[in-house]
Amino acid sequence: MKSYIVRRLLLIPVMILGLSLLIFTMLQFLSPYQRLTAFIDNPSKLSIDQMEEMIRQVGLRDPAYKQYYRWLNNILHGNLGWSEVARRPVMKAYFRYFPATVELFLWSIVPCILAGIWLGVKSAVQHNKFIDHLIRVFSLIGWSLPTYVAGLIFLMIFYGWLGWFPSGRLSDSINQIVSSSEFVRYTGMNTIDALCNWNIQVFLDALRHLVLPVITLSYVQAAFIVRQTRSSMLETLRKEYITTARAKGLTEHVVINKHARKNALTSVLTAGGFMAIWLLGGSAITETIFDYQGIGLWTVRAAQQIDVAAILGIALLDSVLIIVINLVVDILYAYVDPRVRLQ
Amino acid sequence: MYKGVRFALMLVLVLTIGVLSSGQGQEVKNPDTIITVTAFPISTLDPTWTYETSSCAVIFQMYETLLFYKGSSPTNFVPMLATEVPSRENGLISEDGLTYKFPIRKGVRFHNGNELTPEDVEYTFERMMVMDRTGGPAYLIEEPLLDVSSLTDAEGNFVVTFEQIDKAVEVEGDYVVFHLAIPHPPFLSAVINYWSGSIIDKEWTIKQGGWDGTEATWKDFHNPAKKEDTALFDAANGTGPFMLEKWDPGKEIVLVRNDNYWREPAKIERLVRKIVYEWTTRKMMLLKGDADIVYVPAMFIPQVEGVEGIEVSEPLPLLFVTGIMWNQKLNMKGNTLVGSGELDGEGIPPDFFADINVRKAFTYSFDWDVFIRDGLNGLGTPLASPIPPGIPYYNLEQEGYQYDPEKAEEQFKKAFDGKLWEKGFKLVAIYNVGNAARKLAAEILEQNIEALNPKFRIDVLGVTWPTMLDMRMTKRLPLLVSGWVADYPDAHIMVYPYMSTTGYYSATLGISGYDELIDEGRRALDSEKRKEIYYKLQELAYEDAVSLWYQIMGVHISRDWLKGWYFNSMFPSDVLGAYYYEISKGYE
Repeated sequence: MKSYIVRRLLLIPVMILGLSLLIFTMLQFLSPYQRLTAFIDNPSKLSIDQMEEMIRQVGLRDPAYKQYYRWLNNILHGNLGWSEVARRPVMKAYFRYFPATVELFLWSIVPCILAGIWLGVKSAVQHNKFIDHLIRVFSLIGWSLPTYVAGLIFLMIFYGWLGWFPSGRLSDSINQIVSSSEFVRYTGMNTIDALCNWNIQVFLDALRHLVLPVITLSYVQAAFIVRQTRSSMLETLRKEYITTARAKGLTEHVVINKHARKNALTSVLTAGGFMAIWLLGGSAITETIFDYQGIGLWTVRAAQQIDVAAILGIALLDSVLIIVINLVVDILYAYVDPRVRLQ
Repeated sequence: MYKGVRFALMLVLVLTIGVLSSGQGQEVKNPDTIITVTAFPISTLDPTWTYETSSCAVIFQMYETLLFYKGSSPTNFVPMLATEVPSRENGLISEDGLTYKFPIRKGVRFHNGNELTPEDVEYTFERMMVMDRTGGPAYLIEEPLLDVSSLTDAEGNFVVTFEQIDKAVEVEGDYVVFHLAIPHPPFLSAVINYWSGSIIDKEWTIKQGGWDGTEATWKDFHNPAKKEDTALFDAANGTGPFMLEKWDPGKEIVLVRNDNYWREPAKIERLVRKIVYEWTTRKMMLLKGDADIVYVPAMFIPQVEGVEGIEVSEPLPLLFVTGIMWNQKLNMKGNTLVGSGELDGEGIPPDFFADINVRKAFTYSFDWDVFIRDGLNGLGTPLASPIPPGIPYYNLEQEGYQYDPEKAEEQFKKAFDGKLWEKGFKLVAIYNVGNAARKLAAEILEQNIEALNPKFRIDVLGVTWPTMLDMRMTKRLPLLVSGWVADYPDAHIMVYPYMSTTGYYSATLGISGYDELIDEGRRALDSEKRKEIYYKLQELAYEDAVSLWYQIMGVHISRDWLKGWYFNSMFPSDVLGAYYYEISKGYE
């Protein structure tokens, strides 16, 4: 196991190099004018000569290998460049936005997976009964519902109409507390930092702002988990060893929870891994609708404005994340299914 | 089941929108704070660097200029950091128009407590000229003071000396004196506008790492490549009614009232400007009172009109002109927008729009009524030239083109000695994705022109903004739709970009023949002479069908509990310019 983990971790720099080369090469297909747009505040006020001057200043006409070398050299010195979209260094921007995304992830993934598994098992066990149909409708709605539709509906009902759950991460008045010198930032996650500062007012306000984006994300993802779990569980319940377990007189509770569920979870684990990667990469639509400034929103803006430094930086940092998450999933796999040997 | 579920969801969405279109009578939220929500982040806090509206909208609240606009007038001024408005009558403008003197107010302090002195004013303008960053606003004062639009030529060699910069702005006792290299009638407008005239604290700027004001180091601070490397990128210290509390780039900026302001302190305690990209979210914030002013794209204005608690102003004329411009000198290399590149019915030649009959034909084919109604939501006015109402020397009597398919056909038949009508043509009209108005403009031309002759073919294609910029810069666009905001209200500023061979647009479109008049207009001191010149240019713009132009109108949308807002076309903002000093919140 240990050697497996080490080998996987050693892959990280190789992956980074390969990925950076791929993205860099693709970006070279854009003209210098296109790549310049990330640096321009007011394009209507720039003449051709001025644009050429800016292109020269930024080095966009330098040979591709020179540009790549310059970027790589900076990386090795811990400098991922400047994000025009974020108006700060890429590394700083990533650690500025990442906690928001992690916070959203943590509050989403747990209810999502727990609810998804529980409902999926329930649905499979009560196969073709009323509860099964109800859960299937629930998951069908979630699965069919585009995130932006769900988000907008929730926003309009729970914020626009009822005024219960506003957008953003904090209220303006609470933001003043958090920005003050009396509030210490530990993680960048408002709920966690509020607890660390023993400030219940900030905690509740942060939680209130999390409700809608969490529901939006969780519902859609939970629907996916429900379907996976149900399908996997139904398959497991048809296995011979389950019939044997029942024949031996074991209670249904033991059959489901001790024998069937665990074996059904392996495929769910894979799905969960993908989901974690997706969530941690930032849910762009949810973050946009709820004005939740995380990695997803930043990524979309960077792509729209061809913020090359940000695009590369996000891709690289996210790729490290993906490798780590996949490794965790593999380890969990080995735990869940002793037949799997990590080699 | 799947379809039924989808239908049900759509029904819920529609009903929800209907139910929720209500602002509801409410108590004033955040009574001490004005929250503006927009979709445009600011790029820098350095008044010497910035040349875009969003940053200026914030800088405008923290810094001040020598003079200020009188009420809603963009051309009449009142004293601000200067104690008098220079004029020939009071002797502060010389008879030859080459010397301007400003007496500087005493007792004014910057946010950090430093006292404003004439040396700060001198330093402000010298720093602007020294920085002279590519694409920046320095040319606004360099042109009159040094008779150059940049300190360097195309090869990067300096064309002015430090001595020239130094002598252009000098301190004489309590006065700051500007020595112009050429007469420049709108000089007051140029030197007091927010692009180029925000007064900074010399001592503090130097402490931040800015230029020390000496000849020894000036070239080190010339044309910095990156805004984040400038001394005042994320720091602010002006004399204005508000001061910087915090800036979270891309998210929000917070200003607080300057209680040591040299006039009465502002009525409101805090200003918060937030960035929210999603329109529905902004709308919800406005309706709930969590935002006082929001940016509303024109197509969504009907969603907030008539809603209780929301005030929507009448359409207001902005000094913002958009041109639908014809490229008279196309670059054919690798150009996929021009078909075969020949006048053979499968493309267009590089000089297609150089033929005046073609330009007139396209001009007569444009249905303004449909465009203004459907593309601009009624918020636009067709113009005969790039000079709009509100700019001095706008000619109200100047004839313009109307949609006339018969005349269009007549012109097409004359074009290229009749060959165009016989052979036909094909081209691709580009618009930038997301811009519905520009898309509609292209489609109107497509529809109306194709209806005249089945051999005429226009394809409309949406591309991303970076792609369109690339096509424009490489002169491949047959038609270009783009706008220009007046830096200050003067006819020269509007005519130059659209009709000069070195203008920002016209240079990429092969437009020429007006330089002599444009230059003469810029330098003429006599207002009657200037009027004659600009009237002539407007007439030529019409006769030569140089381009199509229209003026954008704007609408101010806010909560009805805001009081004291007024419109001035020179106030910078993406939400119709607020000078927050005069604004209060409440129903009394």
